[in-house]
Amino acid sequence: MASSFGVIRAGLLGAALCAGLVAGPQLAKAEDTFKFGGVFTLSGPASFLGLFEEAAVRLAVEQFMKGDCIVEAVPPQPCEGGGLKIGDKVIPIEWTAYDDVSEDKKSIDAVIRLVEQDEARAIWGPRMNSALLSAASILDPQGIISICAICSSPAMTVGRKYGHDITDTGVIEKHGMGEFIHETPERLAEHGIDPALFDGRKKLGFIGRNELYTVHGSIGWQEAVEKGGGRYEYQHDWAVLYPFGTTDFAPHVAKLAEQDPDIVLMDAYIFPDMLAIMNEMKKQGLNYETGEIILLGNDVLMLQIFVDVAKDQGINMSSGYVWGWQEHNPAQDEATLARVEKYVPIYNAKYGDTEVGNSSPFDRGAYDAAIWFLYGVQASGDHTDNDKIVEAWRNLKINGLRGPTNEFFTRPDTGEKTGQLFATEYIIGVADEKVFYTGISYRDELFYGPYVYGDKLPK
Amino acid sequence: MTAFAQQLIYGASYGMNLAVAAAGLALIFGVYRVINLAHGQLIMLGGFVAYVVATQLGTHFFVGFFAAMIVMGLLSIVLENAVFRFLQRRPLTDQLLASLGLYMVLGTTALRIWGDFEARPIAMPGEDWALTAGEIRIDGARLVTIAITLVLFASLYFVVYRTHLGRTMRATAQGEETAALMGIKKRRVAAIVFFLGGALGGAAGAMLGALFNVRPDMGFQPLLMALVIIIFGGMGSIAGSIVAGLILGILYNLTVFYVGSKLGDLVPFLVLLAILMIRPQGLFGLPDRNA
Amino acid sequence: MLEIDDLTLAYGVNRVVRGFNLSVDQGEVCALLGPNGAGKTSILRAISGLMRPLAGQINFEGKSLIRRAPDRIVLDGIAHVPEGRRIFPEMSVLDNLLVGASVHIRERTKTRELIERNYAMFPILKERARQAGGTLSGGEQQQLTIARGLMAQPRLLMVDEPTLGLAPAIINTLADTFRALKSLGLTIIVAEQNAEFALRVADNGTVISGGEVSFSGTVDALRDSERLRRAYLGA
Repeated sequence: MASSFGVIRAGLLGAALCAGLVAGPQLAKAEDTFKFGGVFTLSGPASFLGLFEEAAVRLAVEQFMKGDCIVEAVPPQPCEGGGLKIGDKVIPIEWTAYDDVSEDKKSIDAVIRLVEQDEARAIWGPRMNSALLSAASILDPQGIISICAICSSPAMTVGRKYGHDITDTGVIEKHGMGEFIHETPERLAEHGIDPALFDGRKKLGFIGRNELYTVHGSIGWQEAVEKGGGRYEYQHDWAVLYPFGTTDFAPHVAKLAEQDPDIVLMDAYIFPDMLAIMNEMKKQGLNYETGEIILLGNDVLMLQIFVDVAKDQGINMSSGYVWGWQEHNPAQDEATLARVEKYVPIYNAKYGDTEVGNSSPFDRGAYDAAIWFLYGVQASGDHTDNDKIVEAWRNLKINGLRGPTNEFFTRPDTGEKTGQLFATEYIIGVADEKVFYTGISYRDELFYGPYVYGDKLPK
Repeated sequence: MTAFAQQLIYGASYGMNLAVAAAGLALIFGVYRVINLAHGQLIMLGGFVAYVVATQLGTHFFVGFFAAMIVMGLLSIVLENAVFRFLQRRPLTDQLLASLGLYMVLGTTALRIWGDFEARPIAMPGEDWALTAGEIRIDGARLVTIAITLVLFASLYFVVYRTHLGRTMRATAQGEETAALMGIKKRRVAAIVFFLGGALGGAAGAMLGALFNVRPDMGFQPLLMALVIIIFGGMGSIAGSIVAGLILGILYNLTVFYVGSKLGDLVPFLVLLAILMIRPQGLFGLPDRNA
Repeated sequence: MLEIDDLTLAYGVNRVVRGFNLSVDQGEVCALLGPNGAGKTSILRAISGLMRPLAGQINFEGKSLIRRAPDRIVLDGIAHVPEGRRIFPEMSVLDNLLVGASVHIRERTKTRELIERNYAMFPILKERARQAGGTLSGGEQQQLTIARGLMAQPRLLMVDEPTLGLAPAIINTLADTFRALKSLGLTIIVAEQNAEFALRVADNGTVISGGEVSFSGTVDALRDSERLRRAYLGA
């Protein structure tokens, strides 16, 4: 029995099934360091989504060890250096990160290595949706805390006891856009937006690359339409989901044009995809420059640098018919600005000249999340008990770089804290080639439906 | 009906681009008997050469286009010397593994340099006008690439069937040792074939890049389609590449439009399956080539 | 004209020819006789540079051919017509001939003259000039391979197994062709299993069995040779 057990453990699935049994004694063992690991995409096609996140978390751990945390917990937690302050002991933090080279299999290998060899108590990542699901099936049964600050996936938290998503999700984002298109003319006018913007518009469309993020996004989009009670029409199976590696977008945009939508949500986040789709839309009568359609995008569409690039390619986003959101509050309070002003030079000095690049709102979110988590471990009073850590962390708030009092979402049905960030979406527009914050934001109204909370993700 | 015609036109224009990519692969396989999966990355790198020369150095599209052809032709010769000549007599699996390795090396290198997925456009003649007939439109840029494709195929046909160089290539394809007995230099033919194959890949990359922006992952779908095209069209057949390219491009577009966008990628594989079942030697392939 | 000394050839560790000697004079037709697998083809391949000898010397008109590339050897004046009628089946007859002229393709007049000369010698090839090589009959294909070899304007023509698989009537025509080539002053080596044909066209013959020379001499001496019979019977 013992030998066959060893053979099974060698397999991936075996590891997932059995590690739970083996891990028990390890968790009980008293430890004098806190082992914390991560799986990031540091090379390969998706590295632009991994480099900054790893950089920010590493910086957070280093600063925690130095006692220079910049962001503050609510209620306050000490950050005195040397490690986590647990009772009267100081526990050093041991940080290990692996590169998944943009491959699902490598990221699962790394997760298993972190669990079995490095005995990590908490694991950051992996980010890629498919790997994330496999990782969840390994980590949750063993009670290992998993964290991600850019995963944007319900699979991080829904139905999971130890998963934490410290950003919004594709579903929550679309709920935000859904609130926006249902705004009253009065509220639009109040914020300087044409009150007739959505008049006479009925049919919605959706286009994105075929992946779990957009599939969830399209479901969220349908939920938002249903919530609106019939003012708009949209069904998930209308979604145009083009395959990976698509170069010619003409047939995909043609499929979208055939549906004759009045509003299109473009859920793409890679510049060349977005530009190709937007160029093709203009050619095929889905014109957002003339108001033929309203084009809704995401936080990448609403980056100033994207607006600039699009302008260079003859795309005008300032027509008043292009809207999107940002998760990061564009109108920061003074205390937050002060924190950001302290953080940015440190980050840029460390990474500005490397392939990581200068600071953006994205690495700030990851930094907030990492320090927040370490404060949470401290607050638990026992760094060897993940149940206590999760409980303590989820009840802690953070005054971070993204704004004051970030907190976890509380399930309205059970009153329990979930691992999902209670994220706010800020509606952004473009005028005179500059992105601007409309002053409209949503939070409480976005957290509904089985993809936001529940006991299990629907199939 | 209008929509159908429109999809035929889009599909034909995409298919022509794919045919150029496939012709390079077909030429190398036909003469040299090696399947070069790295061809996909030559397409991608061709796009970047065209981008650097046309956009960054501020020259004309055609300067970038020819630069892409020449640089990729030369790179292809280097790859032949460094890798493929050791693979010619090896089993297919060795060829596939080694060229897949090259694919990854070239891809990773490109990602190191251009992995930020910034938009990299190439200005192209015809991009600001279009022909319209009723509700059907043909973009000028697509017309230009169709014209380029026709010129490329005419030139390729001329080289292969109307010059002595082409005769030596065909002779080598049909009997390498016999060709050597006629005084044909095997290494020279290999260099020429790889140059032409690489140059066609570069041309395809420059055109795809100009139509849809240059990006580090742009070689994958054309490679996939090109592999199916050369099997469909008959391994090594240039005429087969054009016809198969057109058919596959059109099928891809019709599937996306009428069946579902997600299923577009299935088309090449379904076609492949059908060919292997009905006509394993391809459209233009002879059932039994000589040894 | 051609001198071969102590030639040893091997495929891997398997020695197919051992200590082979041969001397061919200008204008001579020399037959290499022996059963299938005796090493005849390997010797021709070594002369034309397709195979590198393990040991020994090959000199053509006083120049060593060892480690010389096949295309240089063609330029030196040796044409090798391989066995099995290896025409280029999907290329036209004319293209096949032009490929044969690869080493001097830029000299258009010369190429044109060589083609005309070939058409005169093999009229059927002129008739079938635009047809794909693969559509010719076996005898026509053999004519084409010889004509293609002649396109390089060789001084030494080596023909491997020309009669293999041909009908007797066609073999007769082929014998006439060899006589005509000899009358033009061409030096010829013909490797044959068909001793009867070889003895009809050759001046001298060398019998090989098991990779070694078992007899060498004039055709007349060969004709009655007990050894020739034994070589074929493997006794």
